[in-house]
Amino acid sequence: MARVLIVSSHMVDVRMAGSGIRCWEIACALSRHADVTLATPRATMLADPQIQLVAYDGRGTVIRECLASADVVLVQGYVLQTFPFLKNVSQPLVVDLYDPFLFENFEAHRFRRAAHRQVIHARDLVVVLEQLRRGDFFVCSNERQRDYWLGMLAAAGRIGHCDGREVGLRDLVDVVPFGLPEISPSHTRQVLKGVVPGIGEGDRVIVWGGGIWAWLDPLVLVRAMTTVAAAYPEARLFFMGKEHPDPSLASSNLSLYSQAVDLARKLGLLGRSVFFNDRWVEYDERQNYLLEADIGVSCHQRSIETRYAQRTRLLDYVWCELPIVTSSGDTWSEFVEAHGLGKVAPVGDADALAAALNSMLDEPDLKAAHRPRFRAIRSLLTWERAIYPLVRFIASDR
Amino acid sequence: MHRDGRGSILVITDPGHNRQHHRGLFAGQRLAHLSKVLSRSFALAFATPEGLEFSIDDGVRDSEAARSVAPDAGFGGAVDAVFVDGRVLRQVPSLIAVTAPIVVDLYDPLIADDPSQWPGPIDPAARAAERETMIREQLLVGDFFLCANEAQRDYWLGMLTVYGRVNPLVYADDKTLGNLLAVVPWGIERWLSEADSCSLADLPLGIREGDMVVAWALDDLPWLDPVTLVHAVADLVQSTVALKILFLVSPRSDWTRTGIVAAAKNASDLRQLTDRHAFFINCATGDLNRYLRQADLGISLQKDCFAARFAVRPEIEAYVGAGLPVLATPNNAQVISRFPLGWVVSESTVEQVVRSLREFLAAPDLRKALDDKAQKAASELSWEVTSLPLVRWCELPRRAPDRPAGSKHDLPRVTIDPTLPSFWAMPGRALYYLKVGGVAGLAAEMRSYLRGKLPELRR
Repeated sequence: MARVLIVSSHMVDVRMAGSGIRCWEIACALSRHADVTLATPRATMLADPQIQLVAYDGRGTVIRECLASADVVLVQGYVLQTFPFLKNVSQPLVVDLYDPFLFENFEAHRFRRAAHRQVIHARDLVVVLEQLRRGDFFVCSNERQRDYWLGMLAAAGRIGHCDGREVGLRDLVDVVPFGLPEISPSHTRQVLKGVVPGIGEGDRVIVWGGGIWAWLDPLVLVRAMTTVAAAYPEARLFFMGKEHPDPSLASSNLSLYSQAVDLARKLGLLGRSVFFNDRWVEYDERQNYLLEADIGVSCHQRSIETRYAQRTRLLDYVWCELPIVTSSGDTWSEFVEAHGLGKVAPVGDADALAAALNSMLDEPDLKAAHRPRFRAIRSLLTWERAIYPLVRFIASDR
Repeated sequence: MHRDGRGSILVITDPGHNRQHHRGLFAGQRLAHLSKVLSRSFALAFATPEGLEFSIDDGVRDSEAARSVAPDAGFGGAVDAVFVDGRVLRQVPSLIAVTAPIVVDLYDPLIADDPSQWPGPIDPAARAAERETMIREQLLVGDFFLCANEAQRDYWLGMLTVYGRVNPLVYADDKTLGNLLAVVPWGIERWLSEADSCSLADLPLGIREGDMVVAWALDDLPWLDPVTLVHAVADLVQSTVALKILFLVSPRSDWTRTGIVAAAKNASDLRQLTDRHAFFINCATGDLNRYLRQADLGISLQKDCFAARFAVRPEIEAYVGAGLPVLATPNNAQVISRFPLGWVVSESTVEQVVRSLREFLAAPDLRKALDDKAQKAASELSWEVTSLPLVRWCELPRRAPDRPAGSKHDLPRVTIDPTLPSFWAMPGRALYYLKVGGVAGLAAEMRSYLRGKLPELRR
């Protein structure tokens, strides 16, 4: 079997966010097709007998050692910048471009001075260009992203004369979406209803999975809850994640989190209809929250980030067969509408969002009604299917 | 401002683009339609070395300014905005110095790849360099850009990112980047009536009353796939003699010996369809609608390739305007799915085309049944509607936030050369940050860097 070294840019551990989750799940799925080593920024408590897990330090000594026994290397994020020696490896280099972080950082740094924003963007752009110049194969997480990366790759000189003879350039950049575990989720302990003070066993819970990132819009949801709570006093909104689980990014999202808490307090909803978790939920326990909840929600801003976004939390909702309410504009909102998985509200429209939530809460057996639709698509969205382009590349005669 | 008080727009056309590259059925039509819409609200002046292939009907064209001119900096100063397409900036480099805001139509991402633009032996390296220069100049000089569909918009945003045009200044102006790049889809000229139709006698001998006619307004482009249609029809006509394909090919393209139309003709000859079930006729642009009005189904199949992904297929809008149901591959088939108006099939799948044609043959009144939907589509996709982003920008033309007004040749401040060498050495980075963000930017980055390093140093 081919030997694959995956170098994660973010923490992979019992508590982790999108980037770490993606590395972990790709490693697990790929381990059926290759010998996988997953290098992470610090030691992890996760374990899988099929994966060799190693922790690297700032010098990357461990990564250098692992390179000796790797046939293919997969990197993401700032890894090439942090470890420039990876740019010169002889092995084929796969670059995971699932996250167009340039757009996320536009919003995350929006309140900095203009000159500094320019510098941050220029630095980010060079990081991306280095990836595009060096990579042998690229993966991203949806077709919109792919079109965007094809434009960047063309401008970076990676695409030659196109005359219709080539087959789609899928051997240069292809889509590896986020996937679902193949096993069904199981509820192992009660965590929300009757456990979180203020959320009773008979309440109906709207859950916001994952973190409150700068480009999302928890505020519109909190505003919508004034209408929802008036119509359904038993409705409870629960934000699952607080600060980013990676200590180096822990403070990056607290501004919007604080704004959401303040708004809920100002509207008299905090602790009555709106609740904020005080920690990040462990990856292997997320299903306990989602299986107890009645609706999964995701709201974002009207921005270029939304166009290319791939929101991990929505996959978790699908996995747990949790009816969805989401903002319009991203690929997932189209998917939700196309497959009848829930409701889509216009971005930033609190009234429409409240109406969508109310109409869902109005359904007497909401989850049972949606279950067949989730069952119809779940098997199509597994990680095993998602990683096919990687399996094809690794097996190819490069 | 024009002397009659209307805003004035200088339209600079690319003769290579409109005459050589697009020798097909839709040559120059996009510019013609956009110009006609603009002329209803603005005074237009045209600049082109060879004259226009279209005329503005309502007489608002400024005849004095419309003479062929090579624009210079002074000329640009006299207009409120400049509208360019194709490779104009490569042919008229002085345009870079124009102070008026510039809107660039990028609806054809493949213009740089068209072999007809490269006469004589071509050095691949020279072509790549020329291509890169041409695209870079367009993307650096424009204040506002147009493209023709969402896939193109994603592609061009990627390109614009590399050339530094997607940056915090532009984002602060509009978080969706809609003020930088907007989609102006190919529009529908008008709803065709029975009176627009040709007579049966105008059709090739062999097409008879009662035949089901499948029409394809076919440009000789390598990413199109008429061969799949030929094989599908060959499979079908064993049981359905009334099915006829009408390939409408521009007489301006030399398609008889090489290219994709010749390949289709060869396949048709081999399957013994030519002049029995498949007809290849020269069709002047002006005659296209007459033939389409007589047909029963419009078709447009593309291969699964990079070029097809981002190309525009105007024949689909022409079919809709003629009231035809449409069979097409997914790229550019949004109109078919949206209203809906026919079948969308995967690329290069003969069996799917056969299945769709069977359904089409089983519904002889389909055209009539879809009439309302097609008319609705024609109304919602008229050029007046699709060109709204351009009209709105022209009402208030302005320099892009990263191309401040006042200076002439002011390429954006954040311009990253994709061939930038690796410079992770500290001094190189500092110099780079100084160039991009000035002293304030460098200082902020140094503070940020030190904040990140301090905990490490303390350890």
